Amino acid sequence: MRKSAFLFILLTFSAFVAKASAVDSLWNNANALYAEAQYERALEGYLEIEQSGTESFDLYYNMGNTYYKMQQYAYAILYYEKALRLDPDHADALHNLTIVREQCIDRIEPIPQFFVTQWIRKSYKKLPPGTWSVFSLVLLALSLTFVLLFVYAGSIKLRKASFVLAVVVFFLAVTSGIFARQSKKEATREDIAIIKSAVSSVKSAPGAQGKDILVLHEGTKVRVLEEAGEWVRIELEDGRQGWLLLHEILFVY
Amino acid sequence: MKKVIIAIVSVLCFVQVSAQGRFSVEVPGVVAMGERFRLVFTAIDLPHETFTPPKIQNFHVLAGPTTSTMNRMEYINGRRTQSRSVSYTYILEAYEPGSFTIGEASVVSDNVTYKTRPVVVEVIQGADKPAEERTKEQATTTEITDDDVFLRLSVNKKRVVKGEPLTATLTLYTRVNVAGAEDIKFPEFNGFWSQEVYSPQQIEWQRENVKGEIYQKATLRSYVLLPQQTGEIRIDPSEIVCVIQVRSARRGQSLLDDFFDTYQTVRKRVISPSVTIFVRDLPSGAPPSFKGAVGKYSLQTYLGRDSVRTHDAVSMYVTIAGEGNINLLEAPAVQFPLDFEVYDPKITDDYKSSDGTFAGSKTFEYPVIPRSHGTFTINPVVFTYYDIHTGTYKTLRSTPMALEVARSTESNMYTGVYAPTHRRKVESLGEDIRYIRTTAPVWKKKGVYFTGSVYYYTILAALLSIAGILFSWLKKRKERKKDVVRVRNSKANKIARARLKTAGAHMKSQLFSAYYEELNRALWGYIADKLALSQAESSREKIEALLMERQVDEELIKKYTDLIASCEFARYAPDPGQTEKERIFEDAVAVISKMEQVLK
Repeated sequence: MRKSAFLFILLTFSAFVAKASAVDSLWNNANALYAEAQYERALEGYLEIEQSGTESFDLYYNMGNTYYKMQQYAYAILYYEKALRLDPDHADALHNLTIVREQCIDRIEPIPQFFVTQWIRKSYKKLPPGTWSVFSLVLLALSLTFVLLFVYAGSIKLRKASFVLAVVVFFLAVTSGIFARQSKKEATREDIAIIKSAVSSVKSAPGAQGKDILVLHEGTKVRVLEEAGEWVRIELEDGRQGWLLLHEILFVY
Repeated sequence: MKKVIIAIVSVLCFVQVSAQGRFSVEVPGVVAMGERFRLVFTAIDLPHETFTPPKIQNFHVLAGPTTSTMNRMEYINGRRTQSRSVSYTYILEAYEPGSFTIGEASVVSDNVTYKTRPVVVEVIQGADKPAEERTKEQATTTEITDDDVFLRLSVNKKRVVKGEPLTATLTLYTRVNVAGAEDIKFPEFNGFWSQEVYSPQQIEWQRENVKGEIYQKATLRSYVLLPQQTGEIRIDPSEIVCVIQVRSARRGQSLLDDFFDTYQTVRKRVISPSVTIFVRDLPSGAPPSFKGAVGKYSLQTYLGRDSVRTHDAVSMYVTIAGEGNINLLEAPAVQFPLDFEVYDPKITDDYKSSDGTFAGSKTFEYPVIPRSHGTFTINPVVFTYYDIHTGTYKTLRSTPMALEVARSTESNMYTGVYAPTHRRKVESLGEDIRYIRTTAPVWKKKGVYFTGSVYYYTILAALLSIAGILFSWLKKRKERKKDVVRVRNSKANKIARARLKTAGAHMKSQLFSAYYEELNRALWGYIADKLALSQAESSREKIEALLMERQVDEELIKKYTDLIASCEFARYAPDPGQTEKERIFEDAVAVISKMEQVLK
């Protein structure tokens, strides 16, 4: 019984290792193809990795680069956005995203947010959700240690210091926990989409009776508010709304 | 002195050159049968000549050769030129139609033989009267037909590719007496780049056989055209109003009429037929370096200097020579190293029109200033043209050139003064995305996050439970310890009393050393129990410190420790006597009871 359990663990582990090495070789091949400017073939490799159900910041970042080189700017933006979901403050991805946005036609002024909200958003976007979670756990452990010290320490000085530290560290732990939650929420949003078609007209209502109210171009980021058949209601970053055909957008998730 | 010699030599040369004579022949190319015409051989500046007449067949020699000599002297800007010409004139009559050659004539002058080329004279049958007479006769009718005078625009090619040069010549043909022209409308050549290559000040008439009739022909203009569009391009007709002198017809046929002719001028508008040129587009697949050059070219590049100092100007020359649309050549792009300041190229043209195209060369001079030192390589200049003969694109590539740029010595000139360094802002040349990540990343399953996962909550729960367990364990331990302390505390007095009792018993039974031992134990044991100290921990300093912490009277502490010290001392000292022993005993009882009150 014990033997079979051991065998099972060994098998799953070796299967996992084999899969990882297959993905790594695909990754290296695709990178080599990219270096030789064979972007179509490099992309095939990256897509294969993506379809195998594994992901990483680096994969999405490289795919964004590849699409940019193939001048498919909507897809480039899509993949940079995906990469930024896994590492929201990555300098390279942010830099490349601004460069791709230069190629896009639509310039939209986002509605200015309350400065505190902005600060908080900026803060929790500094780290990926996983890191925030690890932080919160470590800080919680620290805070609990300080609580124990406070309760059982011999000297009064140590106890005083422990009390203050326990409170501060606990506060930080809770904040990290909340940030982790927010960051994950942001990373798993299903309502963000990128306009795929070169030109798409936004209508006031779904279907033929809708009047054209806006013209959007490839690469513009929109928020999807609702779906109705093959139509979606979208909102721009500046608050304007309208209806678009579902096949004209790419969801970022 | 030198200059004078050069001047003399050049004058001599000039004399020599002017002494070089010519020998030429002049004859109409087309004559009518029965017409009389002149055949003139002219020897210019050939002294002491002896003329050998040509062989004349198929023509009647009516007169000749008659010799005439002409001397001419000219002063131009104080310089005298003198020339002498001798002409030998024949008057010939054609008597049968056909093309006949008049053979070469020669002249020997100073032992040098000069020869004329054989000339061909065409004799036409159709016109049985000399042209001049016919003109007169026809002119008597004021009716001028389209056959009498017409304008033609001839092109040397009708099917060309875009950019291929072609020649258009505007020619006036007449068989009447054209005295002048008015209101000339030259062709406009829409869709072409055009350049006049021949526009005479004076019209030169020549004879030509047009469908068996003799016409006077004059070339008015000649153009080189470069098609700029594709498809059928029509050259719009050009127009001339010819002023023709016509002898007015008289009723009275008088002999004198012939002498007192009255002429009237008639205006006749002549229009050239329009010409259509078929322009093909250049074939597809032109390399990116192709900029519209059509023809046949060669490429040459060179640098003004091979080595310069920084901030010194140097020129690179690119010469494109050959034939084709050379006048429209664009400056080829030259890739200079990035730290070079490049100025617009200066273009020097050296081409002429010949045989309906442009031939020669075009030189582009690129002035550059290297701004940093080192050895630089100037990339090859790439020039692509469309070869008309083979119908393909051909790319010429120069060899890369090395340029040595030495450090400028300029800053040495500013000794003692602040030497200007050539610091500059680093400028961005372009922007591009950053390169891909190449190291193998940590892969994770799609859509799986640590945040909010089972693992996260498990670890959280584990942390909390560990903390809870630790907490409760520590609490229990503390409580247990507290119990021990309390017991020891409460029993301290009792034990001390018991020990004191034993000590008292020892004192009575004169057991001197045991007495001190017991007393010492009572004092140590009591204070250790009270302060919850183990035997190992207890020392006099520790006890003092702990008692101080508990705010016990300093005097009492001192008394207590002194007592302990004297007990220890007395154990090894000789017997101090009964009274001393009793005093210590009483002191111990008093101190312990006092301590008991303070510590509780």
